[in-house]
Amino acid sequence: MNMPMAGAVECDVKTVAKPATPLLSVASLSKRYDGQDVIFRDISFELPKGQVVSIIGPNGAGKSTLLRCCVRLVEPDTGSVKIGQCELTALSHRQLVKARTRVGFVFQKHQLVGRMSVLSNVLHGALGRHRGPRLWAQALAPRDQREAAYHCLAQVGLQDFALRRADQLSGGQSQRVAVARALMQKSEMIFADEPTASLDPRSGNEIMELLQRLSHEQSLGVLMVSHDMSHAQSFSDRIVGLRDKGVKLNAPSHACSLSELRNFF
Amino acid sequence: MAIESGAPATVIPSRFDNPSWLSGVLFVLFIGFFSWALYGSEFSLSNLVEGIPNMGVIMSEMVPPDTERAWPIAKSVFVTLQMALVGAVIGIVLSLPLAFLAARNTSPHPLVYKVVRAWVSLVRTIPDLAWALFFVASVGLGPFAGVLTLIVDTIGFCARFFAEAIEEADPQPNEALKAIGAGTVDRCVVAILPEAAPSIINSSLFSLEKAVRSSVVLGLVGAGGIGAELAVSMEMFRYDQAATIILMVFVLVYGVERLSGWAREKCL
Repeated sequence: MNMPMAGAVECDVKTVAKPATPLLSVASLSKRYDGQDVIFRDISFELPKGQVVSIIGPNGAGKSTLLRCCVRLVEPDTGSVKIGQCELTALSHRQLVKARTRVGFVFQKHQLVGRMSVLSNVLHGALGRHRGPRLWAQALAPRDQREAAYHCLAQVGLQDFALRRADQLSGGQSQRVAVARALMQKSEMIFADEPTASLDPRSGNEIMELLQRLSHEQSLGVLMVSHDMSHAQSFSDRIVGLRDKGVKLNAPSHACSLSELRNFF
Repeated sequence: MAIESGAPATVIPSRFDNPSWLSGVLFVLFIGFFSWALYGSEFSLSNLVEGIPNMGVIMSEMVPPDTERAWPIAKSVFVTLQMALVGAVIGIVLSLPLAFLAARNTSPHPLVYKVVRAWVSLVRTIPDLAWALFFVASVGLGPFAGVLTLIVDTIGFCARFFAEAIEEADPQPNEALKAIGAGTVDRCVVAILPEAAPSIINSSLFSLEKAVRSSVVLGLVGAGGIGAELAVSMEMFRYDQAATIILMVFVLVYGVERLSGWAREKCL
């Protein structure tokens, strides 16, 4: 979808959410692949400030596609995605690039640049706000940006790995670096697509604790896709369940028992 | 597992499938085409046998190599190396932006992709000697014409292979930076280039070796370097001097290949 949707209101991408406004509002969102098979339809939910919202559902339910639709990495067919007051589906390409700087993204497979240092990878988180060669590598970066990147790395406990190549890290360490990169972005929210899927249980718990702590300490909104029901229940404030191409569950996590969540599949 | 007695005999499948009639027709066509090419190229075993004594004479006249003009020849070898180095490095640098325009995943528009790809193909299909003749006619005799030839030749080679390396680069780091609003140029440099770097370095080193080999030949058409010395020595029947030149060229090419192999091991 390259053209704004009918009826959508264009807005200033710098618009900041009012206190009561959710960081992210998704309303009646639908997506078909190749205009044929429906992946999901009429999806609505919100991501409030300082909360962790988990999206759960069986394989093929469209969880990752939904997450990508929320920043238009995949274009939704119909519906609305608002970041604060800003209607994302109405933005031009240039405005969209700016709007994306408000959302940090942590992927299942970390998606770091393996041949570059850990500190350079973290520094790349600032590329949404600043352009140019000085953020291409830590050796070229201005002192303040280097310090900020190092501080983000310290927040995830990996300051001693700053100059190590990213492809020499374990899976859990790589995922922490991906979180540090999202922090470097100074975004209002973090989207995490199965952040613990390739990790052992201990590393997975550490990443979940880290995301939850950052959410509460820095009032970040965290929207997470997860297959792990215990993670969804223990670390989320709210759970959104997708099944049969729609939202079948949208409830506070304390209202959902683990057995109920497992039965959801 | 033991084979039960009385079990039916196993039919062993044949080693090869029977060739289809199309394979037979294609094979016959190939034989016919190859025979036609042998005739057209005047390939003659009798001429080869008759030429063997001449080869022996030339080889004997090459020994011992003449060292009287060793220093002027060495200077020409250095010029050849300089031509190759300048031509390859400038060609590699110019190939990089062209490769990003010629790669499907980074080109700004399909039309740009097709135009740049077509131009690179055109440059590549014209032989280097034809480019050398063109540049000699344009800028005159000498190494500069050779350098221009090597630049164009390197672009034809590197832009294509760099573009393929860029297309094969892991798209995930690029997607991660796209998701957070990083600009296109930044993403190309920090997410795609490092992923494609091993292949790009490999192609660059190979293009340097290729430029050294090409620069030897370019002198034959007046584009500078050791080739001109070799042509003169052969035309003057000074096979002993030609032997000196060939030995120096061998040392140059072998040296560059070893250096390039070492650099490849260190970088990749």
